[in-house]
Amino acid sequence: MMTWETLRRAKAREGISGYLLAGPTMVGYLLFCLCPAAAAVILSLFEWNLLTPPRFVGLQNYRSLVTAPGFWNTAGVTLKYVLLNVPPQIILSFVLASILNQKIRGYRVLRGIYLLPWALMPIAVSMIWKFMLDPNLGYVTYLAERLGIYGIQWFSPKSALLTVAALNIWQHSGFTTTFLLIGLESIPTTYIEAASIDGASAWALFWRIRLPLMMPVLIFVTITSFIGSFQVFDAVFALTQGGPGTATNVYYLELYRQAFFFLRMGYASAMAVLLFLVLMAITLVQLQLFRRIDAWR
Amino acid sequence: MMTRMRTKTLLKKISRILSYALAYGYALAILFPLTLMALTAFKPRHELFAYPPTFWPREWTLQNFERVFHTMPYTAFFRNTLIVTTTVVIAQLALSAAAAYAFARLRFRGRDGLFLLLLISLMVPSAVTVVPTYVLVRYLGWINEYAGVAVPMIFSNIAFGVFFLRQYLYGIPLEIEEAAAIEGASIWRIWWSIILPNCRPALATLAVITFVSAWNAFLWPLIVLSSQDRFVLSIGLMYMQGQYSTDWAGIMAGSLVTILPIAVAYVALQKHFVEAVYMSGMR
Repeated sequence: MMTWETLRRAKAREGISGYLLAGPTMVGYLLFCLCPAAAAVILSLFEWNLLTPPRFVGLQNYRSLVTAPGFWNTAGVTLKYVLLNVPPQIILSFVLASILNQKIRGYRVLRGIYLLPWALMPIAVSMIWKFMLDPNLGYVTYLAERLGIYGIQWFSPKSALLTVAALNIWQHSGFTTTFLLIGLESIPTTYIEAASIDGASAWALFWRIRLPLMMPVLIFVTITSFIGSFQVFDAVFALTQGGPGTATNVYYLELYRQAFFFLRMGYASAMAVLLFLVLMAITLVQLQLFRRIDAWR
Repeated sequence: MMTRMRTKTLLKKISRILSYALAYGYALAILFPLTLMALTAFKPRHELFAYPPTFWPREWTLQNFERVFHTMPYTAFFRNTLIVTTTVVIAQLALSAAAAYAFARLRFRGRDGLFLLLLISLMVPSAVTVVPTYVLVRYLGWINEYAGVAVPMIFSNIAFGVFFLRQYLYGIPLEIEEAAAIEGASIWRIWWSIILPNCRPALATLAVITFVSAWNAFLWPLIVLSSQDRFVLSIGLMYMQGQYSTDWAGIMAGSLVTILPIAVAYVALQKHFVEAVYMSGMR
């Protein structure tokens, strides 16, 4: 017979099971994810090289950060990299997604090919491209020579950042294309049909229907691409190690170097906190901006 | 009137041709370097100096693979990568499936608060946690250990796994579970024999995304691992390029070995890779 007592017990058992099932995840998450995030803020107020005891320095790390010339160079390089990478990638992906959305022949195969580089190891991809662009043995160099172009410098102080950005576009635009394609395919065909019957041109269809309806997806893709490219590491490490000179010394690479070469744990944490604040600010500004554009339409 | 119609169809034709050219041209731009890499891995070293460079190998050889596996501890790199990746995938799946079930179905005190706590990390970029996590791993004595690589990797993205699976669970009708509960099945029993089988598609997608990111990971293993016998493939490849920077045939063989498992998984499970892209948009 079901009594209050058994019901209460069943409820208690449900509670215990809940803690047991979610517990391990929560403990690990707190220990290896949330606490380190909070610890970064605290560490940024200390000077610590792992060998001697940490020393509280207040905001000194932030002060030396903004006065270090190397820091502003890194910030500039990173910003340039992001701008070389994100807008072209989104435009290219939007064009490719729009083409695929017309269900051209080979749709499935093309979609599969586009997404492939995203799943491949950035280090391996960098190796492949380094070989392709090799000034003596590279196939791209050979093709350029066939076209009468000799002596292209892919990794000169001027071109290195562009090369890294191009490689990143090659690796990631498949992801962006797939994502935008999913968005385009979710637009009800009735909208497009109704507008075409009313005599809307392809141009108007794009600006008045597809683009506004794609806004949320575009916002998402832009924000994630921004956040991702501000933290580029693998490809830069493999291709240029930040060089030549400091031409490709992006933010994450500098952070890595400060922390694990110079053992400046506090300084590197200040860099991390600052990056977090900048990314938050950019995300909020972008959200506002897109909302403004949306309202204005 | 007639000419306008004709220009219009002509324009349409041109745009169609352009579309095809662009779509297939881009596919070629992706496949060409990958194909050349795979073919170069089978060319003898001296063939790389031929001018004009060969595309198809004139002579096929396995020397490069022998070199990679014998002069470099590639077997160890492969094993280490396999150990780390398997651990991360299995642990992350099991843990997030358990937590997702608790958050979606069970009532316990503080449930919603804990879930919110979990969501915070979706906004924190990995660059923020890397230094303190290193300090923690060092404190635990896990430097140059598999655990030091794997454990933080399990939890750095777990919030997303829990969130995704919980969302998926909400789409599964309650009736089966209720029926099982009335029959007297325990909560664990329900989790194991009803929830997990029902979540199979979502689990497969999560497995794919976790597998790819663990297999390809570079920065975190680079920070934690210090001795060659513990290196994973990504570091091994980098290391090899540093040691033998002119041995492109060897480096391409190493790259092929590194990429192959992912490429095979990609062809076999393509649907789940596309699904993984879709899933990343749920954040």
